[in-house]
Amino acid sequence: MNAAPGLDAFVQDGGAARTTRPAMPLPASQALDRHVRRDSLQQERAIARKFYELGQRQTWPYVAATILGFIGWVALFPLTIWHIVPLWAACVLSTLAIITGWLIAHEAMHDTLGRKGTRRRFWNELTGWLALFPLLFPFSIGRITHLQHHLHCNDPLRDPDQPDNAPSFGAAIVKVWLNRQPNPNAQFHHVRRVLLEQLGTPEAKAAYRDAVLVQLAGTAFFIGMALSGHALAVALVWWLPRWLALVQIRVGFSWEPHHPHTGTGRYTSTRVFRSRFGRFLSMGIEGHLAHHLYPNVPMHLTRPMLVELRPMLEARGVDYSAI
Amino acid sequence: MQAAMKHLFHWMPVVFGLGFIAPLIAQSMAALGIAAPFGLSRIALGLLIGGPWGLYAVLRGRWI
Repeated sequence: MNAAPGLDAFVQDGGAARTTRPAMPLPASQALDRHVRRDSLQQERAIARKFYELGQRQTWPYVAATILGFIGWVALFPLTIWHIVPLWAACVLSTLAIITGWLIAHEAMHDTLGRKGTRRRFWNELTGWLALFPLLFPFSIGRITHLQHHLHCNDPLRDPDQPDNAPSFGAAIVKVWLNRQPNPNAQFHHVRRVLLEQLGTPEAKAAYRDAVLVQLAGTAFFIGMALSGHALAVALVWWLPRWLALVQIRVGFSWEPHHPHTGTGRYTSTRVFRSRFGRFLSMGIEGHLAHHLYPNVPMHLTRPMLVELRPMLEARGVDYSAI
Repeated sequence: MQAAMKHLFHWMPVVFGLGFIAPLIAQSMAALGIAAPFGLSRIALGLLIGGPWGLYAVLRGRWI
């Protein structure tokens, strides 16, 4: 097999454990016999390793798409100001670019595009920063908060995504708006508590500072563009698409896969489901359970991996009826 | 520095209302060919909406 560069070292060092080790420990109270559970887990890991190795050979499209997409997204500003691209078309393209950017940055958050200490690390970091920038969300805070989400999924106090919890699809959309209002209940304050009070590491503090600076810089850019006569362009190329993308990202990628946000176990924190946004716009999120089990396998491979994991996961009580 | 940033973020909705929403209203009206009422200029109308709206957001803790 033509393994990915550095895979042998990866298998031997701590990174291997990170790929094949369960993202959450197996609870001791499973109904299955201990030996059956162990064998089942070994089969899971073998399948995950196969898809991980496959994914490591398919990382360059993520990097290329990010660089080209970012250049294209920036180009939308002059192209709309010069009336080369109509505002409505720029709004649609920008929204799609921002949503896709989040998904690609998500790969970089899990170091899928280049682990620390490898030659591809630079591309992982560059991709993460460029892809998340249009959301006005620095990659540093994106990575820390997302890894905390994986560690403490659905924990009301420690999961940074917990404010997305809502009783219904409609309420989840409203929650996207409410979580971004200028009051102490805003999601940003929850994230601040996780970063500064619970983590308190130098990286967490730096990420918080990055978030404040990026928010300030983004607001300054909006105001600067508006005052220079380009309010409509900046509103329809960045401000509105960012909001539309936030709805898709928070509802489609956070609320829907984890609803009803009660499970905290390895096989219950997320689910196998059919997305209301459809296969295309949900971009692989329907296999989110497989992602939580093995986060280093890229998103485009989570669904086929979920299909192969079916016998093992159904034995654990996972409901596959949605797909 | 931290206190200054806290104040800045507290009043940010007013800044946003005056700096972004006001020109956005004025430029949208211009693009649609709509004149401001009561002999006001478009930007004056925008400031009359954006400023108080931002202040409302600061006081109520939400934009709507």
